[in-house]
Amino acid sequence: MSNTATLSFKKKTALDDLLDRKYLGKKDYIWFSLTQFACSAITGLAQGYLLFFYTSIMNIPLTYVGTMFLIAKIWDGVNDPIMGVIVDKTRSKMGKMRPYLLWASIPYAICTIVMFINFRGMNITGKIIFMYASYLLFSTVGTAVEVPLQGLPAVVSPNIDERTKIISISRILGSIGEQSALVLISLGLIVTNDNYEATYTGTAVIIGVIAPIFMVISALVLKERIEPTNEIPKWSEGFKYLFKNKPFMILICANLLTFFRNLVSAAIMYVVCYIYGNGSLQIAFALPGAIASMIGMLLAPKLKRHFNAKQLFILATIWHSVCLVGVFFVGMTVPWYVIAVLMFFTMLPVGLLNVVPHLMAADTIDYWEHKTGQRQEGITYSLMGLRSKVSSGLKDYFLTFLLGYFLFSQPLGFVEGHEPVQSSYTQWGLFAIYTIIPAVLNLVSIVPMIFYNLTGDRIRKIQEELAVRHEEQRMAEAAFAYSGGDVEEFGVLSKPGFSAGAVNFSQIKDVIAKRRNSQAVAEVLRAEKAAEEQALDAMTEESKKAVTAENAGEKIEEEGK
Amino acid sequence: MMKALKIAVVLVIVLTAVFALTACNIPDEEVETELREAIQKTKENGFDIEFTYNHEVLELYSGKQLEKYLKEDDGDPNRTNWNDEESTEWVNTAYKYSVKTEDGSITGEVKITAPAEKNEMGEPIGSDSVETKTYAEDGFAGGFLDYWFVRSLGEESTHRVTYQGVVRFGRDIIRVNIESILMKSGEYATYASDGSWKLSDGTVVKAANEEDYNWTAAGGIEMVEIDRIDFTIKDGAVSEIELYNEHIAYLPVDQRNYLEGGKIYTVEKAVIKEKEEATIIF
Repeated sequence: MSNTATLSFKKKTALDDLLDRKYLGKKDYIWFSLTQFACSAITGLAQGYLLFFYTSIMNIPLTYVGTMFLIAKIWDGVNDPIMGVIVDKTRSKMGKMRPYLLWASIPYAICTIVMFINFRGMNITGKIIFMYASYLLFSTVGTAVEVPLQGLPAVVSPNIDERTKIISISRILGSIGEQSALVLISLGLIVTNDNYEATYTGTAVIIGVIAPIFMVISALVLKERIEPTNEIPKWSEGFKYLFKNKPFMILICANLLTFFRNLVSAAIMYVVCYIYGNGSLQIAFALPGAIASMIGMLLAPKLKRHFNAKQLFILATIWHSVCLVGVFFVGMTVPWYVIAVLMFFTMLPVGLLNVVPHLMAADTIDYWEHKTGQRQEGITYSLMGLRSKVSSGLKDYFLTFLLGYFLFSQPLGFVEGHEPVQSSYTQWGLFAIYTIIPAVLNLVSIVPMIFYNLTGDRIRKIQEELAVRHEEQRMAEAAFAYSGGDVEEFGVLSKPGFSAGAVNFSQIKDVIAKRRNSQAVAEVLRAEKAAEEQALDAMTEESKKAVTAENAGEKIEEEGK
Repeated sequence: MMKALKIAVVLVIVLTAVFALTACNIPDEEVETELREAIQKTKENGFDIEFTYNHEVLELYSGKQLEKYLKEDDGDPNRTNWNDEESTEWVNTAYKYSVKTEDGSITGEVKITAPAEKNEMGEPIGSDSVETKTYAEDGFAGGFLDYWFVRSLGEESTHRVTYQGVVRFGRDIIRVNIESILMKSGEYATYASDGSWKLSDGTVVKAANEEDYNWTAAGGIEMVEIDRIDFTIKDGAVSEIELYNEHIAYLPVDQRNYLEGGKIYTVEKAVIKEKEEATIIF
């Protein structure tokens, strides 16, 4: 290492040139972010409002809806890696990601619209079949759009700074997009005088028409500039990794259990409709929560300086639960705005809870690299994504179970815009689903977290050692280029084998050593030659002096004679 | 060994949860018996209670509606629209009961407060009326409580009763859903074993597994009555009744045709015409 480190880099390497070069223009940032906005608008609409649409507008029995969501999310968990493999194997002129974005975006939008249409005159069996068919199709086509879309930043630019920038900007736009359904539905309910069916279908049409425009333009504007170095891991490898990387498994378990927390946002529509009797109020309940959550996200890095990720997770969970218990005891008889304000403070820690698991996931990646030398970012984030989908499915399933448990009366399907009056027990139950039930059950997620030990000195030591290793690797890369290797050759040598993203460091070192040996020989030869020449020069000078001196002596002798 | 232990622990937790959730329901075959016994015990225990039953009816003021539609030019001004909030109104008649048990029978009186009648412009004619009647003469067969006790127990051909019995937080809740269909001819449709509703001449007014009714069959349906009564049972007796009913009629309402410049035309749709609610604590 020291030999490598002492090399002086007089010339800028080809690799550094490549990494510093800018590839993305303004239009790339704009269109990719707008695509992320559009995609999030669709997922925000489906995840936030479809359950209510099925149970309170289409009047499909709760048990069928709950089961369908569970099955659909399991299917999601299966089709995600399948799509990953399909994308990875795709070779086309447009690249491997963009063709799917281009061709699947319009079907995705059509599925979104169709899913939110309540076909009148259909009997219950027909509605159930329609629900399964439309949602599973939506879910499948959605995977064909989302998987390539999430992978796109990794291939649009080899410049890491540019990738980070495009991901950051698009995530902000994405989180705003998620709330677009909330705004459209709230406005729609005001305009249509609480006509839920027209509002939901109208919102789906607006989002469904605008979203594919952004996606198609994005697919045409963006360019895939590099072959992704990370291969999509095999599904079986993913599960092996999950069980071998203990801290990561604990994180997944704890994070999976946080689905109880999502009941709060999922229950808002039921609370405003059936307790406060005004669906338009949902914006007053949901928007402060969303803002509070964003503030929580912004606070996360500052709080991270004072607490480790585990402490933040536990503290934020307890904070959220205590506030929810408080809201429960304040009760549902107080004016709605009191609850809306209290929920703002209740949702602040949710922002932290959205960020902290990702920080912890990064720590588990470091831990695994420290232990095995392999960085498993691909598998880690794919499993985190799968966790999110399973959580969403469990949340919907559990919510439908709770609605049944509290004897929720579904609307009469044959009466347009029917809003059944709920019994006092059901209203109490809906408020409990919104407050005390997630408050208590959310605490369960702390249990696995107690066993999470990548904290304090342990993770600091791991990260320090990794930093040294990374510096070694960086220097090795530079040395490789200095010793005559080109970028393509480095790419071939650093291509992942068993583990995605792991650099074949030993092989590179061998090549560097060989090159440096031959170079060293040349240097020695050059040095010897130079020394010889120098010696010759020195000898010549001395002999000249001697000859001169001899000549001078002879001259004096002659003059003396 | 450790793996087996972990799997066993998970299985025990799952089975306990399943068992606990199953125990939250009263078996279907026991629900009706439990309700019958609870009603009987409530009468035996005796009570002296007061409660209010509200009966709301949707009224349409045709003159007021015509006046409004004459100012608009996107539909026939003479049309009838039961969905128009400005020219319709929910009119409530309140029944304030004061009843008790005497020798196992329910007696008492009811003070009925009816709002003043209104003309076709929605303007009141006269004033609110207050009338006091005995419990037995309150307009319900056998008196309000007896009527609902009988209606909630057992299935009759003219109304279909379904039960849902649950155990929640140390008390039993029995939800009774009652459905009946009254034809314009005055005949009640009967619920057939195949799940359909039929008239005596065999006309099907609601097919099995269909959500909607055949509103225009055999001269038309006058009203579909959907009743929901929650009985809370504590120590074997009824401690609370929460009643909420809706009566639905097939009435003319506005429909906009966006394909023809948003012109309004009239269609008939199922509309809630009457609502009843009462909370009775014993």
